Amino acid sequence: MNLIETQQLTRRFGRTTAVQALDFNLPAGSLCALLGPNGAGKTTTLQLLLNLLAPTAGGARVLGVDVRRLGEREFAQIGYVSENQPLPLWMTVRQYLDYCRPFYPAWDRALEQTLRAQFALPPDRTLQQLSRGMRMKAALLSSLAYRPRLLVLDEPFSGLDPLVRDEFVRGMLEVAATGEWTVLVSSHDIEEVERLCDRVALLDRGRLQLDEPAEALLGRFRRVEVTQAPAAAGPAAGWLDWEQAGALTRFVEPAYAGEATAAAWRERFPGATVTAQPMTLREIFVTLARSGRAENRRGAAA
Amino acid sequence: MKLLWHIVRKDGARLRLPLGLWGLLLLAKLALGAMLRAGGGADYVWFARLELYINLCTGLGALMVYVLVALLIHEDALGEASAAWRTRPISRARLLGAKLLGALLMFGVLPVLLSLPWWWVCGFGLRELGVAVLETLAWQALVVLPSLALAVLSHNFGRYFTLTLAVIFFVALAGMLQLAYLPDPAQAPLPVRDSRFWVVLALLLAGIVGVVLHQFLTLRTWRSCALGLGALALALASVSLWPWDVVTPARLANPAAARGVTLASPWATLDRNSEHQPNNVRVQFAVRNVPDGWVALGYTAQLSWRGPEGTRLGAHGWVSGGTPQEKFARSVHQVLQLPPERPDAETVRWQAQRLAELRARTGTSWVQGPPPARRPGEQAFTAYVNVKGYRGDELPAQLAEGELTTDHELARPVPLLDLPLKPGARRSQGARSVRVTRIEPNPTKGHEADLIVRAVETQPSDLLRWLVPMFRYGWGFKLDGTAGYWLVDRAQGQARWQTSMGMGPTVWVNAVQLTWARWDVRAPRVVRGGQWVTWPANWADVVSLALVGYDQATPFQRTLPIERLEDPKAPAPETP
Repeated sequence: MNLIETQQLTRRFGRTTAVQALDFNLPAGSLCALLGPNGAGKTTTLQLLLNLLAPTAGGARVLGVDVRRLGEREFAQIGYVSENQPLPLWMTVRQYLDYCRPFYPAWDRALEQTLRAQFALPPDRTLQQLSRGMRMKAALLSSLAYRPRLLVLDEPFSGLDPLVRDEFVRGMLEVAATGEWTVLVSSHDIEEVERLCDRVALLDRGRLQLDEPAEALLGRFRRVEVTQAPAAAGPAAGWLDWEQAGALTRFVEPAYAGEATAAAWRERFPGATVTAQPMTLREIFVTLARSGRAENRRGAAA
Repeated sequence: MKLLWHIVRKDGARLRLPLGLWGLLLLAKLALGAMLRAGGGADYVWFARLELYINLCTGLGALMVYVLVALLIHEDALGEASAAWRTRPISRARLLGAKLLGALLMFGVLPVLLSLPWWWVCGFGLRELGVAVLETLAWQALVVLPSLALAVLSHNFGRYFTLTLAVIFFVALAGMLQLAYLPDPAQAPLPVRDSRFWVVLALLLAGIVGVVLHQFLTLRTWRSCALGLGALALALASVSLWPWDVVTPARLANPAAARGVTLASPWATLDRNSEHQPNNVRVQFAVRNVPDGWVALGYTAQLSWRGPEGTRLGAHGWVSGGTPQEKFARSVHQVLQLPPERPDAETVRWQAQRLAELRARTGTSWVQGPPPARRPGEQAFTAYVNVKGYRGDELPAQLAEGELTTDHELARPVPLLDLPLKPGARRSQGARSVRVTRIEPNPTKGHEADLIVRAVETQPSDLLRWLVPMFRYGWGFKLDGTAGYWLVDRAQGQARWQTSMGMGPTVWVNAVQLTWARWDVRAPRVVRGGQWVTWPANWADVVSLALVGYDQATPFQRTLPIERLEDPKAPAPETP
């Protein structure tokens, strides 16, 4: 079952198209990272999914309900943490949780206390007195304590130092281990996302570039180095980041399928030495983003 | 409902400091009111200073309400996509309910609760309490409702303030355009002008309610703005363009008590003005068969006649029944159960002799004697009607077929309290109380026995007392029915109206009206040996100031044809 489904979801701001004809599904139980460079439309997509913005065209369903009709019943099952969302800074952590609690019939006091201890949140300090990381933890706690079916995180690691970030991710993973959660997280912080997510969606200029399980993605991308390649050999269709420097040729293979792909390389570069290395999510992201920009430039020039 | 209260409690906790400050300001205002009410023997400057402080508190309080409303709404801002409530299980309707409930509690219930001890001290009964609560809510609504409409359209104070300035600018601009391009509202018939007031009020109220509901339920800020501006523009246009009289039907009531009352002897005079000023028509008439114990009050007048093309034309004005002494002396005499007045024989003789001498010396009869005695149940009135758009020489012919319609009320004088002329004397009747603070000689009047009596008067401000006749008679009404003070000498059977010229500043403190009253009380005089002397010598001990109010008003309307029109300033006919 999909908790999120979008059909041709589009949002324009004047002449700028922030999200363009997005078709995206998020199955229940997934931990999905929504990646993309600045201005890719990640935050807009999340805001569309939570009815914070109205779509210009297309539509979306969250928890089986049209996003335009999301009501109290649905929001009681959705957690949302965003770096942009203002918190009531005048409240203490205790007051904040006391305020949020009555809105959620499924609020779990035991889980709240566990998470509060785990996040080391001082109950009598006002949110104003907390560091940015602690505030994000308080926001996360207020969005986890009712065991939401869907958790949406918008740049949750932004501005956090590595230690807090690590604690945050660890906390998330521990919570994720306690039940069936569906998480959609948008972030620039790919290393943290890689630890957290089992699925990756990439947005660029409002368009969905890819959406697949992280394992499959990592499995099909390879950085390939060819030494002593024939001078006439050019890139095959689909290869990314092609570069040649003297006897060394480098490219990224986005469709690696084991021995069959290796055989195809050997056939293309007879007599050459071909080595292929797995790539990190970060490298894949950078490669895709770079090739996207290059395509952009070509489009603009044409 | 539980969650509604939960949100209200959160807002209350958030705003506790500014709300506390506002509450303190209200209490300070009430304390100043209590000081004024107690104000023993203090002078006018002291009263005026406290009045200034009270008015400052009122102004500052209104400003704080303007800010507090914004804080209340912006706590869960509507126009901001990142506002936390939007991703929590809080529906827009629930948030609207919570904010309205919060506004009612903070800006309605809180001032009422704080004012209760004040009203209790002022002796308010249940009716006065009910009216005071309504009045407090109405005054609060005057600031809260427009602020609410502006606050829901903005999500921070900067935008709220900018929007306020924009609306003020829009109203000013629309007002200028209205003056330049639309008909002058003052030219409209009086009932239409009155109708416009209520229509504009209704439109503004509907606009505010529409903006708040629409914005909360749809979060479409631009559409809400358009809705608000539309209502505002419509209201401004209605000031000049609303054509229908929607209030007259509400005024028409001719109950049995007024059935026998008739109007008679209309005598119209044309007062010609300069070329640039409109002409006035004065119509003197009598109201007859006023039931015993009642007095007739006059309000608005309408003069109508056939125009040049047979159309019905009209002009509006107001009705005066003369001085309170002329109008009410007889009925006041009755309700105070005074013995028949016994004029001093020597004084009457001397006055008659002086009058005859004066007439003989001047050779004319313009020196008027005492007004002619009227029949029982008859009162004299004059209607003053402003006739615009007609040249004076056209009017006599037109008015030959004219008729006069006047609005009246029958009221019954009611004695309220009797205040002795003693410093420190206090008398109360219900929620109204008067305390004499000082009595001193009045040398300016040239008679050393005359006195200046100062007092502080406290009474419910009773907005309804103003609003009901305003609705019934329009802005043109004169509140003849308000209470007045009479200097009463029971031994001599005399009741003399004390002019209100001496009434000092009035200040309103949470539905209580405090007036610094001053009466120039003229000592009773008789002629002895050709000289005016004070009599009796201990007059201040035997007279009192009686407060007489008017109750059980019964409105009625009458129409009578104009029988005669005089034109004393008519230009002489040209000679060939």
